[in-house]
Amino acid sequence: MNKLTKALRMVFMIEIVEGMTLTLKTMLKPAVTRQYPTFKRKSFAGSRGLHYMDRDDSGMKERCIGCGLCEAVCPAKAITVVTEKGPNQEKVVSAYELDLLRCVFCGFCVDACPVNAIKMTPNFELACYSRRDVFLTKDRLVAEGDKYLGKKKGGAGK
Amino acid sequence: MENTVTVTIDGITVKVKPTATILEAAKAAGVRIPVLCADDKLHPYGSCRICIVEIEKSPRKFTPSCTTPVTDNMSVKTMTPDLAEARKRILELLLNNHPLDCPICDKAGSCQLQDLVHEYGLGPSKFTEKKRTVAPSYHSNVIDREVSRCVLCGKCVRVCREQNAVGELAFTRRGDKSKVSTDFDQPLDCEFCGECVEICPVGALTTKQFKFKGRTWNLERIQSVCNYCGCGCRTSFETRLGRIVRVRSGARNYLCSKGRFGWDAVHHQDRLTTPLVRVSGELVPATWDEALAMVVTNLNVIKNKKGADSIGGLGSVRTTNEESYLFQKFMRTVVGTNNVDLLARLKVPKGLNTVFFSGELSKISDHDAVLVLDGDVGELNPLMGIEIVRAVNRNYKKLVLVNSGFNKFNRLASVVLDYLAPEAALADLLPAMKSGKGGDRVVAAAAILKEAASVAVIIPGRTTDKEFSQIKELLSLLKGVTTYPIVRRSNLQGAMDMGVLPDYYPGYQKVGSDTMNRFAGSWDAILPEAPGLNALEMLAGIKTGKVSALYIMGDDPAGSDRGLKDILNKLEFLVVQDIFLTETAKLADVVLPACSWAEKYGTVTSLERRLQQVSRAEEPLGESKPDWDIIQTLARKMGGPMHYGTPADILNEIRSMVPLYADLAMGGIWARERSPLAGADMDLSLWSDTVMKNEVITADRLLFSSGTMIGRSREISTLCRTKAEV
Ligand code: SF4
Ligand code: SF4
Ligand code: SF4
Ligand code: SF4
Ligand code: SF4
Ligand code: FES
Repeated sequence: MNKLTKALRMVFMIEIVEGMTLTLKTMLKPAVTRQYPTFKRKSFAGSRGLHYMDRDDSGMKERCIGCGLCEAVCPAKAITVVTEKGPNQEKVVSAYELDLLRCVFCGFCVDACPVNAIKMTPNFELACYSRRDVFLTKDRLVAEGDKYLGKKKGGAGK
Repeated sequence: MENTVTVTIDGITVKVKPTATILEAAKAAGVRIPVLCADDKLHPYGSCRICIVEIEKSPRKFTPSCTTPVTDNMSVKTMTPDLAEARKRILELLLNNHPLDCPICDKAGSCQLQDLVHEYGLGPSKFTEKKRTVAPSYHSNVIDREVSRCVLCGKCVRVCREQNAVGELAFTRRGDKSKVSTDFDQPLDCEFCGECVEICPVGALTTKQFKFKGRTWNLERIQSVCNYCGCGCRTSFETRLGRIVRVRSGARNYLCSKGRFGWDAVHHQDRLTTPLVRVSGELVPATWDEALAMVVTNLNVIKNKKGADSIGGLGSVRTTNEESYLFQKFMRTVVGTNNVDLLARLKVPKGLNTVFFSGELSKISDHDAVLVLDGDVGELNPLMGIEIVRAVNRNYKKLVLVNSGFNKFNRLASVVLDYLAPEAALADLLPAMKSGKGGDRVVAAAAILKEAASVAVIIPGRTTDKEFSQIKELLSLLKGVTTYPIVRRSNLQGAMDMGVLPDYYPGYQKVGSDTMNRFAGSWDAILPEAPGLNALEMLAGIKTGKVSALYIMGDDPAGSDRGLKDILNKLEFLVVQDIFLTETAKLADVVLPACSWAEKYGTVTSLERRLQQVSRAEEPLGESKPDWDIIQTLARKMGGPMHYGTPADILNEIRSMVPLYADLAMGGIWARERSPLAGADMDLSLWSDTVMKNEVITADRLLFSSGTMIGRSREISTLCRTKAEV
């Protein structure tokens, strides 16, 4: 490009015209930005969000058998499983605590669980006003599961 | 005959004893052979076949290494593709009848079967048959049997018979119905040491106490020392989330039922958590400041009114060396009296630390013969009992037993002298030793003892003057004698070493003007010149009004002897420092809550005179404090200069004041020759025909009883069928 063309482009502000053309064209196209939170996108399969605890086959209690493998595998030390002996010599999970503030949502706990008790929902909207709200106890995890599975099955759960 | 043979293990050549097995040779060569049924504590057995190896030029393809002795120039391969395949098949067969409960099995993480299956990478099994299931047994005390998990290695059966000489467990039934059980499948009725649980390579034997309390990989381990008898076994506190859940041997040795299960007294709901003071006849909770102020005022008032010698201090055998040292220093420098003693001296074996110094327990089995003068040794000092069994069962040594009853030692003994009291036995044995005359048994016993080039003599915890002189006479007739006095109380040795004695400063330095000057100089205090009252004199002094106040640290005289209640009630002022509201504490004017031995640091000295470290496994409960801290705070309030940051500072001072401890390494033993009392023909014990004459036994077996702490252990209390007061 010689000096003359360069000067002419400068005089007639060709670059600006080109830029404005693109801008005007794009203005007429539909927007790609999703207006979160007004519009929410469907989550992908396998996305990792809030944990929940499944119920066992009887449906009366949590599925967790208290093996502590999730606690062992968790890289963030977010999980504490406390167990004790039940009245019929069975292993009872007396406390299952998951501190979401520590969790890095790696999903290792889900993979480690031998009985598929701890699972994850795609729910990633976990902002809250109190630290206590993100400290998940066993009951809260089971309730999250009921809420999530109920929703999935079309509102059948409690 | 040469006494080593050369063996090549995986190309590594080692020289070993001709009696060694291939497994031992491999260990010497630093080669690991997987095992399930072999254990250093036990004779070879050979039931699991995991330890197979290939021996070059052997007609046999695979040979179990744990049962095969080495031969000269043997060449062994421990790992070949064939061996790996064979071991895999062995494991597959084991798993064929194994429940694979790993997620809920308390052994997972330290299970040898799990580890081996992981190591050999077993996939799905070829076998589709139904697994054998055997009903678990939960009806014994303390120990559960998940029989389905058993791999029939026989270790539990063997440890109980070979090491403990109890023989409670055995295989019952045949074939695939075989199981480990008791006679007629009755609940266990044994010593409840839990050694079978410890040695089981899988999760077939578990303790009720630890069941589902935590996974092995989550546990923190803190090395400490058992506080229930003088043996001073090393323990490992295993904690989960800051609370003890299990105690195991810290030295891969033995723990008795008290050491293994008795720790739960620490979690007893009656633990003292705040100081208590007596207000209009009632003990009410108070703050530390209030309680200590009350102690300071009352001690000062009594001291000014009646003199320092009207105050006495009773120390404890349950506290650490540092605390005992500080206690006597407090009494001597701050209160200003030598009235400081141990009531436990009533139970000290006569001649302990003077004529009878104890040898090392682990060396009992090295002696040619063992002479046991008290058949209850296994109940009083369980580890000593185990070492005696080892002498017979492992090292094939001779045992001469004096026993009025019948117990496990009777079956092991070469000669049993069945006399009601050692006195009578010795009266017959002595002439037999000297002239060879007497009944068959004493003559046989005398022959064994005379023949032996070395004899370990177990000295009874309590002897009469007559027996004392008889034993001394007997010892002079034997060769290579090592004495082993039975010391029931845990840190008795330490408390005595630390000078909780009215007439000795720390390190058995006799109270006198030159020692006084030396200690006064180092302690920067004015010390009383005359020796103080001993424990019995103090109690007598209360009756006559000579003693008006007592400071009792960690002892419970009223609990051990109900008759002492009235005497203690006569006191003007009584301070008790303890972890429970004991019978004595109930009489006190001020009760100071101490923390348990699992909640503090310090050192203790075992009956072997071995210095050992006690470590904190839990935070002190409530407002309780370590005894040393309480005494130091009190001393400061009374104007005594005590400034220790940690027990280690106190130990440093002890090292500078007590020559016996000056360069004593942790785990080391102070040499008897260095004691100022070595060779002195005297007696540090006290004797009374009235005080604590009868021991209050809280259990039907001596093994399960030992006072304040063990009486409050839930696990141990389940072992006692009856509660009797003897
Ligand atoms: S998702 Fe990862 S970090 Fe979060 S609890 Fe599970 S294992 Fe721990
Ligand atoms: S891995 Fe599963 S069964 Fe095991 S403790 Fe965690 S949630 Fe429970
Ligand atoms: S004994 Fe070992 S292999 Fe068997 S269930 Fe327990 S941990 Fe698993
Ligand atoms: S209970 Fe344990 S130690 Fe005893 S035979 Fe079975 S696997 Fe071996
Ligand atoms: S033998 Fe003595 S020191 Fe050892 S565990 Fe038993 S009570 Fe404790
Ligand atoms: S370890 Fe050798 S056969 Fe079991």
